Amino acid sequence: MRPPTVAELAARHARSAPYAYLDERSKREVRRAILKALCIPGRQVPFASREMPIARGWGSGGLQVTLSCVGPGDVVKVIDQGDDGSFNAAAMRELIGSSADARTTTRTAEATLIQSRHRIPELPLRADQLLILQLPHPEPLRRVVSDPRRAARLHEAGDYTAAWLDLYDDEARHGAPRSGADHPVLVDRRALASPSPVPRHDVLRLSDRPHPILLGAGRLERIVAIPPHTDVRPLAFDDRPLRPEAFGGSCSRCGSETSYRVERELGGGRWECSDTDACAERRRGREAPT
Amino acid sequence: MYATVQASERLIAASRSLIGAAGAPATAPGLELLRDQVCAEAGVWAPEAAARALRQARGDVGRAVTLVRVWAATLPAHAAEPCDDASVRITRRVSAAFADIPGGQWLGSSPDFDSRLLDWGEADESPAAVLDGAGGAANGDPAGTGAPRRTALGRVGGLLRAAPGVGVAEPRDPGDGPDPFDEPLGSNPTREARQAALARGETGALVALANVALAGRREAVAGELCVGVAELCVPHPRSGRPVRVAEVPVSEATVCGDAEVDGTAGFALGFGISAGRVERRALAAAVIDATLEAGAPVGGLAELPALAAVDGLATSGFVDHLRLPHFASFASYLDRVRNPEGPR
Repeated sequence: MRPPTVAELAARHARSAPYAYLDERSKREVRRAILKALCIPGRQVPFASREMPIARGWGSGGLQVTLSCVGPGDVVKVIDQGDDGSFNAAAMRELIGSSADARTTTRTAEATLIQSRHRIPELPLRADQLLILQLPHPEPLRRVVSDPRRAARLHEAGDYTAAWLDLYDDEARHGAPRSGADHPVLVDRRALASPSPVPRHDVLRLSDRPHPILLGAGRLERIVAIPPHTDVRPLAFDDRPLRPEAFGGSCSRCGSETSYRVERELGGGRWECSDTDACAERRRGREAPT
Repeated sequence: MYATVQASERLIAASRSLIGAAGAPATAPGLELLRDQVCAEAGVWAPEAAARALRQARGDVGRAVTLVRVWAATLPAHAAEPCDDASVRITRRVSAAFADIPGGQWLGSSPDFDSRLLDWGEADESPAAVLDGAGGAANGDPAGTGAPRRTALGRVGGLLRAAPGVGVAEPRDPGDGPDPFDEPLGSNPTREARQAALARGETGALVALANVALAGRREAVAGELCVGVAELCVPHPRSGRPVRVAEVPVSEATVCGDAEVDGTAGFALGFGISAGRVERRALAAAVIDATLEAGAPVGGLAELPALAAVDGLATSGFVDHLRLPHFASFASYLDRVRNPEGPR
């Protein structure tokens, strides 16, 4: 089927509010930044972030990327910490779905656009799916280089000495990097980037994926992209690989021992998958007659 | 206290009489300056929308600013003509640097002569006695004092530059400042872009940063502080001729800060401007600008982090986001703390 033209979309939309909330000029600004970001993997591309009906720092960047990509044929999933039910995720899913006339879902496999905060969905994504991550701090050097102007120059020169020294300091004094989530990654072996505050479990799952990953920072007005099949590896010394999180037990709901799990209560011993759909999918698979 | 008005009870009385001269405020009575502040921080001069936003935000200024800006972000944007100094009607202009300043001191409506004691005597139904500047945008000279146009006054910066033996740092080329609506600040903002960021800065952050900047300066004096009403024109869509579409009260300040000019003591001139009549905003912005023009950090912050710190919607949004769930990311850090060495 021929894809609809903009005029047809507008006619079908038949509302005074712009399709997918953002006006076309704003969408073009975001799309240009996305295309540029895809051409220079892992680099921070500035864009004029619009004021969104959610607060800055609440996913306004991810939301703008999603709204600039979504079409009426898309199926949208929004998760926060892996959970579709989180109130901020639910609010954005409702906004995207209603303003773009797009179907929404909580099923990872059904979605064409997945906007996420702090997690990479655990079910494998296909090449026709687009993953959009909310990015609070696009600058991976921010803890070691306080002046963003200097950080930009270091990126140009590919000079990540400060980040390596910081890592060495952590290894020497603590035996491991102190980063919990948001461990910096080298994209395409060149650009140091923030993977957004995804746990190390997810940092290790970023490389060579069949789908693009778009990271939107609305508050700090940057877009970063990881094209499909890009080499992404955590900043780590060869003999000191990044260690994923350890868990105190299997998921109390689906029994998984490989998923990313969160303890419901500190020291309570009850662990649960943070990706609620993957957990439900595993339970569905177990119940279904084979 | 301004030298030229120090002894004149008559002037003080005249200044007081201007307070509330606007008559009944169109919107929230007694909150005109708050409404101005919301407009200034939103970067949108829309007093009615600001008053509505303040009501709907139940007085939370940050939230009201968000409401106005989110609303404005969905409207089409048209570039205005550069504001013509000749169209700016001055309602107040004082210099703390020179008692006799060319063009004269115009006290206008000054908050400085009003008591800071809470008045319990005002009647509940009467509008509160508020400092409403010269009484609304369209009412530039209610007292008929014959206050001049901006062009008639000259600027303190020119005065200093013309003085023999006074070194004034070359202002950074203003550059073609992008409208923050169109373009992000970028890593090397022009001075105009800096001004745009400061003009819509969050008031508390501007004042806090100006204070830490002042603590590290040798000199900072308000060369002049002006409040006036500026006419805004856009080109007519058919004829292209400028058409007046709005009158916006503005406050602007020039601060003379210390700087090293050609190896000797001199001045760096800082400029600050804000929509509305909250003078503190313009003064604070001018102090920050003077500090950056002198090549100094603002309280230890380089220019970009300083500008980021006054971006009220970003800062309040980010602090507010801490109440969102962080179960997955916090668990990751908790794992670091509980298993520091890790299974190697």
